[in-house]
Amino acid sequence: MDRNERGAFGWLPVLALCVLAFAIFADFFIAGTDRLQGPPQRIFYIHVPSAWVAFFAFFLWFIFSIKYLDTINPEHDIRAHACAEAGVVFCTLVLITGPIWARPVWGVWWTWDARLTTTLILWMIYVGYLMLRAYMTEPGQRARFAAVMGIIGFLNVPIVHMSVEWWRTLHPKPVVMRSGGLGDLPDSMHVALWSTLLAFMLLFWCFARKRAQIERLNARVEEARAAREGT
Amino acid sequence: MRRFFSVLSAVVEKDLRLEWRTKESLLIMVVFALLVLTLFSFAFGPGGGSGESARAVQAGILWISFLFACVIGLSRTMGVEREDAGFSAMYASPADPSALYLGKVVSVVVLMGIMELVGFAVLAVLYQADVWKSAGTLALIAICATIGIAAAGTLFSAMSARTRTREVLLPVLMFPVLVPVLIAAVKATQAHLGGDGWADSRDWIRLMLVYDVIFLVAASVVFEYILEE
Repeated sequence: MDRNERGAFGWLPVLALCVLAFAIFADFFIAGTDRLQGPPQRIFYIHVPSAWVAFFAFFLWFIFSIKYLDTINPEHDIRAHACAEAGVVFCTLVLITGPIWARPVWGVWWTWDARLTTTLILWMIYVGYLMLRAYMTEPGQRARFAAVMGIIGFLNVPIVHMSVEWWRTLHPKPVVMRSGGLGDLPDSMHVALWSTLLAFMLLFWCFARKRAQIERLNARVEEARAAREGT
Repeated sequence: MRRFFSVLSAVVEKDLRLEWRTKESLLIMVVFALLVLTLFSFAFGPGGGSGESARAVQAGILWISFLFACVIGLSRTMGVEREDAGFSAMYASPADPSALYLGKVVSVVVLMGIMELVGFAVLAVLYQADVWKSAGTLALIAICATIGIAAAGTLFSAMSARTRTREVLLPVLMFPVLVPVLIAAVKATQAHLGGDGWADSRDWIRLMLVYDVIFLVAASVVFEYILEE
């Protein structure tokens, strides 16, 4: 089964790497330098697609968690786990690239803005989920607890966003946020942004597939070990 | 429906009777909350009075100490269930899992409520905080926040009690999810410590009510998967 899987999607990592190589080229050479922010603006092409992928992964995590509780099919648990783990990679990338950009442009590493804080809390929920999984041994129970955590974590994030937004609007914003209108971007920047997004989506897909494959093998090892101890 | 409430009240009665006989969780919660309240005054300076910044510090200290203390209380109430095979019994019983869950939430709310009464009194004494002028509203805020904390806390402590690390994982799971409640409770309490600010706190109380409803409903629905062995 695993051999077939590898055969069917063997081209995926290659494609992802090619698109990524083009995206990096586009980020540095095709896209023009921003007149106001200068070179630091280029990190935007890494930052924004990672954020979209991180939130997309979060959504998939929620869907697979619900599907698991609905069907109790271990495959959905494996997929939820794979999405969460690949998602936390991109979420970490968002949290690292954000401050690197913010320092020269806003003048501070961090501000307690609603979007930043929500992403940080999202990251913490992801990590809590992975720790919960790591500290549980019984596979069925682990899968159920993890799925519950996936659902509760997802429901929580909009409330966190709302509460942080209210919390901060009582204070003046330290800096002016970019209006974020994608329509204002010149074509060359569009090329960089969307090619990076495509590259990251393919990478996410690769990571999640690989992770799911590893988990399936782990499940087989656990099964075999249980069978041996049983006899 | 009557069956639902009889299960719920049976769980509450059992928990509170156990607590009444041993007085384990409540005592340690109260002492721990007092300890945190005292330690914070060393960390931030005495911070007494009713100025804007003093109130902000007082409200923050108060809710952080309640949050920390409730972790200990929750670990105890769920630890008891684990040690005495309570989870297996709950799973084996024909009772509605959501009634069992809500029963647990109510008993946690009662324990936390007693601790909070002491906490507010100590805040008034140690920090000269004006808690009497709007005691009614503060009680409303405390009830809304406590239900939210208990709703999320009961669910997560039922999970963490059965991990390999036992209760150690509870704060890691619980605190990120409780961020909205903490913000809302602190902001609302801050507005009312001076005796005014109904307009400032109204939205926060609404936010907590929304949170409470969402979490009580969601956790009641999924609690049966937590009980399953």
